Amino acid sequence: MRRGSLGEVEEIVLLAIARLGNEAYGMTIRREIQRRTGRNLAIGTVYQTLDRLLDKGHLRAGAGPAGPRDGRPRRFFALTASGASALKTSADARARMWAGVRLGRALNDDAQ
Amino acid sequence: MTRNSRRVATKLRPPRLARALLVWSWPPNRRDEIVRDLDEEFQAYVSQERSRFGSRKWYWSQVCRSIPAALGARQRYRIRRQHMESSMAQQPILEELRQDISWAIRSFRRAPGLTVAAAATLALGIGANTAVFSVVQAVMLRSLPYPDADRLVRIWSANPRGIPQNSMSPADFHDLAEQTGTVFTAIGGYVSGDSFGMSFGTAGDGAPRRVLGATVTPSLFDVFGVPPAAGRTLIASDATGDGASVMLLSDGFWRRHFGANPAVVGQTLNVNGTAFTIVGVMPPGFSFPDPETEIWVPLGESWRTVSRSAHFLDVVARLAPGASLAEASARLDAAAAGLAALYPETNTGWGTTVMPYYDSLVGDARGPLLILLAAVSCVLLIACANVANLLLSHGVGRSREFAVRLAIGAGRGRLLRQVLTEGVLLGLAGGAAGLALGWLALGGLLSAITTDMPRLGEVSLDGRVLAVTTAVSIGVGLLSSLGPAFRAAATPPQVTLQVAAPAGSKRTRRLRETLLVAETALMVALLVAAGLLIRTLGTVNRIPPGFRADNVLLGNVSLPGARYDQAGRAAFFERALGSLARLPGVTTAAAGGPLPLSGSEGLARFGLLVESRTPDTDRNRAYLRRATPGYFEAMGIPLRLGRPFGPSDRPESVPVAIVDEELVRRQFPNENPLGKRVRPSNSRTWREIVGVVGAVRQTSLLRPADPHLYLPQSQMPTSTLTFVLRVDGDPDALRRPLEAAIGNLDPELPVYDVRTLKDLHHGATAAERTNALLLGVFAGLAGLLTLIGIHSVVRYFVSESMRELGVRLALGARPGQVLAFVVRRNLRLQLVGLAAGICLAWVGARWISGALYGVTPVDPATYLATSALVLAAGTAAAWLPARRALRIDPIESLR
Repeated sequence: MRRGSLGEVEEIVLLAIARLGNEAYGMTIRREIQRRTGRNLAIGTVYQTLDRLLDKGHLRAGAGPAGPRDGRPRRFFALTASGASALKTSADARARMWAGVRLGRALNDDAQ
Repeated sequence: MTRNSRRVATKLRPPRLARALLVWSWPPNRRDEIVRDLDEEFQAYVSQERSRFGSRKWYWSQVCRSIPAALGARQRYRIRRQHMESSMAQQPILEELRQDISWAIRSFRRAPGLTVAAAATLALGIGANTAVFSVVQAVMLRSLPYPDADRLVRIWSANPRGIPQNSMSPADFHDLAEQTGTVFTAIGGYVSGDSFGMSFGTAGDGAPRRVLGATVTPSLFDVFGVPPAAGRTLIASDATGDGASVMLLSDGFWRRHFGANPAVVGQTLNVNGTAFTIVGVMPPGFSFPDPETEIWVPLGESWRTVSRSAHFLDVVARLAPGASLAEASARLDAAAAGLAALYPETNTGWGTTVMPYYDSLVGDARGPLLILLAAVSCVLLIACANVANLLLSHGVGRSREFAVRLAIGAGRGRLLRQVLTEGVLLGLAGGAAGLALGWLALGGLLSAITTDMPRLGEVSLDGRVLAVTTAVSIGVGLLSSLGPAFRAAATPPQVTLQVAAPAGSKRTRRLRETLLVAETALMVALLVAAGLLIRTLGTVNRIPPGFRADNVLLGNVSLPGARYDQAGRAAFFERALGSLARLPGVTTAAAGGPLPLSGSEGLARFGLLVESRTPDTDRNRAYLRRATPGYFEAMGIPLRLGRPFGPSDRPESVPVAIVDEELVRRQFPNENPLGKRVRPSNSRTWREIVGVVGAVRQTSLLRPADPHLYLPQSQMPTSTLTFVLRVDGDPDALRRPLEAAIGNLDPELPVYDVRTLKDLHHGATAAERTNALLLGVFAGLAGLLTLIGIHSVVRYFVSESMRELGVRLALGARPGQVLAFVVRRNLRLQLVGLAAGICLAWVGARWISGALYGVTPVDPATYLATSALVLAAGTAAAWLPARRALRIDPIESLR
């Protein structure tokens, strides 16, 4: 499963797509990530990541409903089974890593 | 800040430069998506009441930070394309071409009217070009029908009075030939029927005929290197003494008179009362020096002993292998200088001129042909502009089709190719029709060229013409579809799919108007050129020739020396004129010659001596003419002083002469010429001037009149004269009676060159008429095409601006104002085109100045008249479709 392991940006892009449902395209993905995480990704980075995820088979692209402005069809993205399982794997791995971790003191140290 | 945000809230565009950078940095497969995403987000950003500056800064940072990703995407795109191309290599261009062609045919079917109009327009232009190019090809480009024709040269004596191309004397010819053997393999001389008037009447096969023949040195056939089809050519031994009575026949003559019988060699033929033995027949295609030359006879070497001042031989030669034209020229000049030293009396100052034979033959025709070619090229360009306009208008209507094809994955390059393919197909269709048109027009063109153009008989639609026409068809197809193709490739997909009735973009309209201006300019230039040539013709037609050309019939006879001596000639003409005068309708019968403007007048020019004055025959020269009583009356040449020749002028009476005004002006400016005595340098007898007549234009209408000296035929009879019959009624009706009357006197004597004096006069303006007629026709064609162009552009403008015009009407504009608006708009284009055309004409007219007479290339009247004509016709052409604007229903157009 090494091939399937996700980079950090890949993971949040996949998550953003999962959150957006059938509204996921380049711009909404970028905004969703910014709104949730505050990270101001470059749109180019988003597309680069989308291309990589498409190559890996975690995503599929399709013509969705017409865009709001100019009526041209555009690419909408959705998770594939492999994408979903990759996310699940990643989340499980984290959950296992989180189990038993206590950050209380360290956080307080940093705050001081 | 509030000001800013308000502006922001209404509409704020992303920073242009950043957007350009974005478009530039991303590969085509991602470009649209990313640009749209950023634009969308930018608008959202702006609408959140961010500052203008902040929004722009955000956009810039997005663009810049995306560059590394963009470069990666570019790389991926390149790799993928290479991959695709290598897998597509098996689906070759031919397949795409086939698709393009079938698409093109489908789109032609959908718009048959447009297709026919465009192909027909191109056909007109291509047809005119094909016809003119066939002539250019035959006259200028096709090589001469002799082996190694580029080694042939023409040689002249150079006259010390500044005439570089003078005929040569036989004595000089033989000397030069002997001294230039190193640079020429052969050198031949000839006397053509034209330049010497030596022609042959043949008898034995019915009515006497005149045959155009050439007296040649036998070496002429070595020069051309064309072997005979039967028998032999002339050989050196044929020329000994006065020349043997042998002759060589042309292929045409042999076929017509001997049914192509090969046994003809060895037979004899009666020519001018002497029996000539036929020694050979030349192959078809050998016609020298004239296309009509039918027989060749040897020039006797005895001519060598005749005076060196008798210049009547034309000379051609073949350069020796390795010898250059310059070497030949130097060798000839050295030889001529040697002759001048040996024979100072006759040869002082005489040199030589040498030129490639091809140039000597074609040189004069080149100018008029190039003018014609330029004119038809303009017509073709105008046709192209028209078709481009048609296709542009049509292309606007097709933008939906293009947008759909783009949307379903066609590349813009493919759309470009599609429209170009259509253009080429249109061009080829036009070319095929044009070839047919050109073939039809060629006959008209040839009959319109009434000047002596060499090699016109060889004109045909040959392989080279076909090849050029095909290339031109493809070229014009591409040229006229270039603009439309790029417009099609630039179709913005999203716009066209939404809007129901697409309007032509501003750039399309501008392109269309530019084309219209260009074709107007070309048309104006052509019209000015045609106008100048027509004015030239008018001027030339108004030049008084010095005679009255109407109601006169002419016919030549040439009495053979073997049957008519001096006294016999005089007696023959007296008897002939007696019977001609009795013909019904003839008011005056006379004879004289050579006649003005007849083409055989150039030679008989002699030094003029006046009694008790120092002879200066180099400067005092006059044309020597014979006349019978009644000649001046019949020709309509006015008598100014004294008396005409009369029956009282007998061989034994006082020798007399009549001179013309021009001679009086030069020799006797303030004296009474009557009673003065003069003689031509070829005679010893002083002659008393008994009359003065009006001057005539001798060799050309464009040359000022030269002095003439008329001698009475009765006192100094010549063998060749022209009958001049002034008649009451139609001169053509007397052709048969004239021939019959002469036939009664001498059944073996042919009457030749029977024509009216009007025809003769007409012939003198042939060049001007040809130029004016052809350029007029082509300018007319150009004008017609341009008017059609204006009409269609204005019509399209009106239909395209229905809405705008409707608004104007709705807002209270009177229909007349709307009409004026449309016409004025067109007028503006017309004025620009006119100005450009006048500049073009002003530059181009210098080029045709050689063909102009009595009018300058910048003749203001022609330019003004052309301008007025163009504006009037252009406005009319615009007004017709503009009236459609009057029928606009404002309510309807706004819906």
